[in-house]
Amino acid sequence: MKHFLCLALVTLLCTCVSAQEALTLDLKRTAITRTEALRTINDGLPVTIFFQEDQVPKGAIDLDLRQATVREALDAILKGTLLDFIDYRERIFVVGPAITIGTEFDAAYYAAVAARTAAPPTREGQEGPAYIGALETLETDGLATVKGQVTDQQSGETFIGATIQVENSTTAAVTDAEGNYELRLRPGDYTLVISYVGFGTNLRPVRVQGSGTFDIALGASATNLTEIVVTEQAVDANVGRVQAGVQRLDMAQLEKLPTFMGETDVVKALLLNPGVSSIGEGASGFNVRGGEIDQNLLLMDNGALINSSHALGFFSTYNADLIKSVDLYKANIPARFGGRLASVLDVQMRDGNFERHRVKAGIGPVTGRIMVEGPIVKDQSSFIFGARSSYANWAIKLASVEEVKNSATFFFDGNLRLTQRIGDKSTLILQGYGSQDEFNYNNTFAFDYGTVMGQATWKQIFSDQFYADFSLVYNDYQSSQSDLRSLTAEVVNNGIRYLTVKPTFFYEASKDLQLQGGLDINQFWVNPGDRSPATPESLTPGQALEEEQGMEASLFASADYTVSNRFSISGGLRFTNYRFLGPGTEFQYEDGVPRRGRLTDSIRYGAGEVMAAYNSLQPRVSLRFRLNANASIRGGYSRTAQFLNQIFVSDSPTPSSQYQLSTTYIPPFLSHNFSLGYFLNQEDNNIELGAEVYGRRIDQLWDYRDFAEVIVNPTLETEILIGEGRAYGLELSAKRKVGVLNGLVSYTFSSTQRKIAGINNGNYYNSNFDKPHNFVTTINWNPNQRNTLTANFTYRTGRPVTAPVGNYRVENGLTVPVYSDRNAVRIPDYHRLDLAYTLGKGYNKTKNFQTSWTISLYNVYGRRNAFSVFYTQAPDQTNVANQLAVLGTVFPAVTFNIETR
Amino acid sequence: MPVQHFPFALRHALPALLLALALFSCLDEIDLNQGAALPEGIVLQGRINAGAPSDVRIRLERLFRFENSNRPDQVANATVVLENSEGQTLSLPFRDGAYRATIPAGDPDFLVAPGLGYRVRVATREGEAYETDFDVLPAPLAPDGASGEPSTVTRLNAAGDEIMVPGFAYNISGPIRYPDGSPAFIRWTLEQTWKVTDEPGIFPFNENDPKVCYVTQPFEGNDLFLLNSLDVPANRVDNFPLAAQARDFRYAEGNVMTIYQEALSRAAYEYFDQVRRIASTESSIFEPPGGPIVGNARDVNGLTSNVFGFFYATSRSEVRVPISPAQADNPGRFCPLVRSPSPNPQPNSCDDCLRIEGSELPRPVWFPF
Repeated sequence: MKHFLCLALVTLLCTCVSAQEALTLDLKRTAITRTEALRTINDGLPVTIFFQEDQVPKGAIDLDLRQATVREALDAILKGTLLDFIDYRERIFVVGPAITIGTEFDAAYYAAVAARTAAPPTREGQEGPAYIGALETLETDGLATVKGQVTDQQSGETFIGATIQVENSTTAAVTDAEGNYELRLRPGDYTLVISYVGFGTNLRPVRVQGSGTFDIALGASATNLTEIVVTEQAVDANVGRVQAGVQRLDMAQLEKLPTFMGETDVVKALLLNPGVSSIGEGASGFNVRGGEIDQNLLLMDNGALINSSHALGFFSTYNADLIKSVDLYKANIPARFGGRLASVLDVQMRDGNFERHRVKAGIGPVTGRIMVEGPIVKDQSSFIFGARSSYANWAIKLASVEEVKNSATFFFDGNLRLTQRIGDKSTLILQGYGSQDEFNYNNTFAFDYGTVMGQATWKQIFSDQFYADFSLVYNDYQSSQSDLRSLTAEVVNNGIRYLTVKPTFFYEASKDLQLQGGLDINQFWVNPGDRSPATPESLTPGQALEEEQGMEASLFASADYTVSNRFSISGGLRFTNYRFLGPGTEFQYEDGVPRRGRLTDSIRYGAGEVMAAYNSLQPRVSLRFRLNANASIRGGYSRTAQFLNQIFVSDSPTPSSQYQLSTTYIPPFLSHNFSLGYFLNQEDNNIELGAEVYGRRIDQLWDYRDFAEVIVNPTLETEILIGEGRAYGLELSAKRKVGVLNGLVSYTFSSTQRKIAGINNGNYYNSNFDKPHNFVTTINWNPNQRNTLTANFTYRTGRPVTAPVGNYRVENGLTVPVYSDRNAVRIPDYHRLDLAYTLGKGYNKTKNFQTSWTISLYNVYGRRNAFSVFYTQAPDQTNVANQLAVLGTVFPAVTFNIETR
Repeated sequence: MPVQHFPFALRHALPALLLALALFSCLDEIDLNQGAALPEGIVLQGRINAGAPSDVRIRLERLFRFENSNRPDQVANATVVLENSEGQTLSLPFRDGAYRATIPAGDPDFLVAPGLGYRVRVATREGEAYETDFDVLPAPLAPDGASGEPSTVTRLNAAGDEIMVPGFAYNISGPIRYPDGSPAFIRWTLEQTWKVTDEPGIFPFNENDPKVCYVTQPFEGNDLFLLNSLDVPANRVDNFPLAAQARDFRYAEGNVMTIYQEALSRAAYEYFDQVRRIASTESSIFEPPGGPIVGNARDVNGLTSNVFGFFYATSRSEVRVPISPAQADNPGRFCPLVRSPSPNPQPNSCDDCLRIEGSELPRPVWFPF
């Protein structure tokens, strides 16, 4: 029935119809059937009446119509039936069931048809807007669905997170992980404003006639606003996104930040966000909302990195030249991610250019890098290769201290990605990453660590609504610490390998509902530590702990549902089954409680036997309620679990710290995470403001007993005590995205505490990474496109430490220190100012290559920020606090970059 | 399975790595605000050594605070009572820096026997009251013997480099379980006695005849020697290494190392094990966090927030290792105290050997040289 009505209307309404005078008729008949009456009117007047005879009741009626309009006549004829009619300009009438007429064909539809039929005819290809769809594809509610993909015109790379906004309207869409977008518009003429960081803003005039596809290639837009100084339209993701607690890194801003030794650092850029902090220079990793450094899932596409930095935290593991996008999920983590408690750093790497070859290189004082990309078969396959290396030994040789002169340091990393498009619906991606860090101090001590990671991903599009990814990842991370002195020479090795299989399915059930689900299976092999003599003269006996195995298998599903224009929800569930597997030995203790010297027995398990198992059901939900076009409220809850933890007893974790799987005695960390925030945009989304509160209840965690010994300890469980923790905070942020003066300010107030029986008399104490105040500001001054001056200031409260506050002597003269409550004392606060000047790429588009310079001053006023504080005993046996500051002076750097167009 | 403890190699490494890598790093002494006020606290520690006779020694001190002098503040006027699990009590008077008593063997007024528990109760004039848990006296477990074998010892030279020098390694042999197979918890303390003849050289000592002193001091070292027989899959140890000492002036005229073997209760062993671990902790940024050592003394009235220390009951045995000057290759003499410069130099130990701490004139009956 619906098709008949639609066809009838389409057929007739394509005719250009002009307004008519009202027609009247006289009809006086008795015992006339309704069908005959309709035909009489249809034949007698210049009107057309559509009806289906089998729908019209058979009975006869009496009519006495005098000077009646057609509408009045139809009312009389259809009176007492279940039929109704609609008319178009009083010349075309359609008779049908009242329910269908009332709900599916409304005024909007006809207004759209009227607009279309009234418009002068135009042809595609002429100067003017692009045509999208046709009347036939217009939907019954009068709206058109415009879909498409946003790509880089030069490379063909799709863009994630590009915004397509209708000019002078709040209607907007954001491209998904495949670069696709969708808009619902009424037919008419629009200007689409497409924005993507680093590409400025592009305009596309379109004429929407019906539903259709409109792909957008950025780079050669009709109007490129980056060449015109105007206020740019900016994304409204700050209020529009549904996912709570997620931050997207501005890659354009990244290149302008002041750097240490001229090296762009993704992880350091993350520290600009509220709720994210670090210990400081010299320490690897970062902390999110008070979490530990090993509680962040560091992704490179689908592969998880074990270590996020080179050279003890001075440089990031990620090569910024190869990155497509960086998202940081703070605690409210989507169901497709798991295995870490505090956050997910989702770094997506980009494909190589499918159109042409490009080279980009950079030279700094102690590091250099190169990136090469291009097609293997144009438009079909591409490659991208990036490598970085340090060459700092020349600087070390300048030191005045002899031992330092005899030292050496080195790091290298390389990425290679091959992308093969197979037809229109399939893509195969092969990717490899390798890194190596080495350090040697005066041929006395040394450490090194390295990663080898390979991954393969198959992407398959089954239909417009259904597509899938299948990923396979293998990672091998090994580290060692060496004492090279002859009598005590020893090497301690640690390492972790894993294999990941991850199929993920995506289904777009409707425009308002997207579903996602899949599996995430990880097999771990962990070397908890082995110690061996490093020289024949060494007196160190060897000791090796048995390799440990674990399997973490997760099933996840999630749904993104747009309830209304104002309210959206994203919810998911992740179920994880974890198993600690043999071969291995489990020790038995008195009363079942692991304590030193209380070992009673041991049980031996064979290969593959389950030694311990844990299940975890992890709901994840995010809600967004949009108050108006400029403001929204966003909240979220997630349950997270972590079965693989890094072991470090000091306040200053090193990359050589060992890893430990959950066992019978060492349970997983579990956490409930909540957040609620208010977000406001101003100045046409150019200013983003946010205020978010969060709370975390870590209902299961462990910490180390006082004076714990963890290196190559076969009874590590005796050094661990189990308890709980809590964290809460307020995060405030303000950001101005574009303009001559732009930047951001963020402030976080937070508290992170633990409570463990056996530590601090069972009372709450500050966690190692508790920093109540964290303030960051970055200000850019862009007088024009080429020149940028950036200032970055960071302040945060000093970390807590446990300090000796007294001592006493035991009878043989040994002095025993008395300590404060755990973490009751704070080291001096951290603050630092950095400046950078960037002379960016030139305007001259005829040149084949572009150059840029960055001059930076890191730690402008030479602040001696305490990396940590430790205590030594003076000759009078008083304890003296010693502050170790890793960088105690200003670090200037000049970096030169060159790339082909 | 015993946990091996290795002397600090990697703990030395890591701070050095950071310092070197940074090139411009700085290590500064700072005044660190301690935050909370220094705790009020008291240390109650001591032992009863079962023997014929038995002896008791208790020390009571205020907590050693950094802003005061580096001498502990002894509490000398408290009422200290020793109590056994039979309900018998014994008052301990204060003398020579501790609360002491000697209990004759078989004293019916205060029984000292394995299997009985012993504790201390303290009341101060300020109204404080402390007590310890009962610590059960274990049966004695005597070693078979000990030896001092020629060995090498690691020392730092003037340039700060590690070098190996000749020395003696002291070992002990004997059972580590009781005849019925039950485990024992053992602590060894070492004390050395050496002979020194002074050489009076300055006025007014230069008119004195040289005299001979016998110096007894605890073995120097920052360690406790402990063994938990549950960690050793054997009933005895042979040549179990204890300590090593360089061959120096203390062997010049003869040296006797006395090794005391104390059988402890499990609780006492665990206390001293905590002390040993803390004592072996190097101060560096990579050390694990510190905390209070759990003893068996507590505050009864709730007036003192920090009570430290341990009172234990032990049966002590001893074995001695004499080493002659010839065995030590006749090392040269040395005056531990250097004379102050002219014009009025002060006498040192070579002028008067009685100036050495622990020195006395009578020769111990067991000293053979």
